[in-house]
Amino acid sequence: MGCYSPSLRIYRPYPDEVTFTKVDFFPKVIVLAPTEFPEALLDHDLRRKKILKNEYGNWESLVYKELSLHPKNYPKLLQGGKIQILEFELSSVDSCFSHKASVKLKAEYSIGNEALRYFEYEDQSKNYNSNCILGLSSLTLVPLLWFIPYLGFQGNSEDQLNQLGRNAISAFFLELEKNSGKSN
Amino acid sequence: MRLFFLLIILFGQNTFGTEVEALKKEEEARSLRRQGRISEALELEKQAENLRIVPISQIETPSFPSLTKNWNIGVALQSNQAIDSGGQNWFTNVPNVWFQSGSPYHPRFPFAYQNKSDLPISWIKPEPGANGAFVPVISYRSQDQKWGIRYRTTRYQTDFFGVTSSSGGVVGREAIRFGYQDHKLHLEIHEILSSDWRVSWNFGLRYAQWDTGFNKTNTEFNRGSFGLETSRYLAPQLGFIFHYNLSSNLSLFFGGDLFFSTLGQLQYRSDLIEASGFSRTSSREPLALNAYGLDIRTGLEVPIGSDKLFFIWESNSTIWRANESHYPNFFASSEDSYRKSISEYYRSSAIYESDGSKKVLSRSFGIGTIMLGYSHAI
Repeated sequence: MGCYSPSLRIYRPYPDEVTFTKVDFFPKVIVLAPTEFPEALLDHDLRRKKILKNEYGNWESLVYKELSLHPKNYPKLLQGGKIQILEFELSSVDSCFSHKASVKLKAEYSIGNEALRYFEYEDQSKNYNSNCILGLSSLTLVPLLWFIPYLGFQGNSEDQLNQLGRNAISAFFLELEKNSGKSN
Repeated sequence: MRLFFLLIILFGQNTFGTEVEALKKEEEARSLRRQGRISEALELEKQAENLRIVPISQIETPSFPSLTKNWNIGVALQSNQAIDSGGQNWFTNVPNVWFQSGSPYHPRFPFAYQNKSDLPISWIKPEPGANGAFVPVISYRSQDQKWGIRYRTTRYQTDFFGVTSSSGGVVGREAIRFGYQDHKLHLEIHEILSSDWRVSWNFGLRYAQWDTGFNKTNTEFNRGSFGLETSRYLAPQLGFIFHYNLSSNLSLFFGGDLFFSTLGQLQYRSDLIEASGFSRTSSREPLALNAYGLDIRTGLEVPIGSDKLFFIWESNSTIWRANESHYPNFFASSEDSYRKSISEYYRSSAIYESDGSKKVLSRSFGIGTIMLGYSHAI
């Protein structure tokens, strides 16, 4: 409630991630985003937009880190390119008996001298992880004990947002890899 | 997951802090580079690099291997032993009760709700016979092994025999059959705690039923009585199991389940045949029954390829109490036997226990089970 401050942990989950100590600088790759990172969150009950900080860095950091870690996947993009994030919205809407977390990512990018490409990703998760049900179930012990494992399984709204955000970013990087001439 | 996070908060604070710090420094360095202040940027980048000397990727996050065979189906042989207690043994504990009743009668058999009075009072305590049952073992696990469904059942049946005697001559015999079975269906959520330990939460439904049938004959009074009682409940159940991998093909586990239910029923019926006639006392409507209890389970598993051998020791205790405020139906073939059935009910039923004090003690029984089983993954 009062002291609730969500923080995001969004990154690209990569199988067998390599060890890294340094993120390189890529002056030829320009990353533009309307705000620093995670654009906005529709807040739980107030439906108020918030700008959230990602603990894994802003869009530029994420892209540069990805390019430093897996340069072989993006041979064409490393020659030069531009990524413009048009919209990146994570939302968590808590109605009384259900909860909906959703993600929307819209981006434009060009690789080298190729034409501008458009990327769009949307996903959502509906579940019963709402404040109302938690409140109701805490009135007696048994429903609460039932609800907690479900809550742990679904994750709280932050976990859901993080997961959706990671999925969106993974999808975006996969698309980038495909168009940057990744050789298998 | 929560436990895992707690561990990270307790022991992993540095690692997380450094990554966030390093990112900040790198962001700063990039903006400096754009302003052309390369030397300052290089210094910040160097600092960021130093901060990442313990890289995040070195933290081991164990994960489940993905499954190709999701169903585990098998069979187990159960062997059980039961203990029981509860109710009041009025004959020995509350002398004024048997004084009021006008005649002494047998101590209550705690599994049963009702007891027929039976003279004379000498009593050879019945011993349960040997028993065993084959039960199915069915479980399902999702592809990523994060959740599963499991069906469990415990079955117990035993016969007790007793004889009553008067000055050495056997005049009565009684046989009591007690049968119990529960069905537990639950959803499991698996979490890895470390490379050796994992835990699974489970929550689901539990249905249990126990029947007590008794059959008594008494040659001295030329009397026979038969009865049957059925108790059942439906309860939500919550539990957990900790698993510990001793080696690749031996794991130990221990855990328990907790349940509580107000959705219980008890129905009873007892017949009395005497020279004066026949009478039947039966519950007018099912009595409300509350039950709660605990299962404790421990054992070991030996997986051999897709086959698995397991040994489980399980203790199941149930505490129950029926609401006895309803009078039963009386049916009798003669006025005399009608009167007898009412006095019998009054004397022998639990209503007598709560007489005056309105306090009824809970009954309880515990069943210990040893299970040896085999299952196959398909």
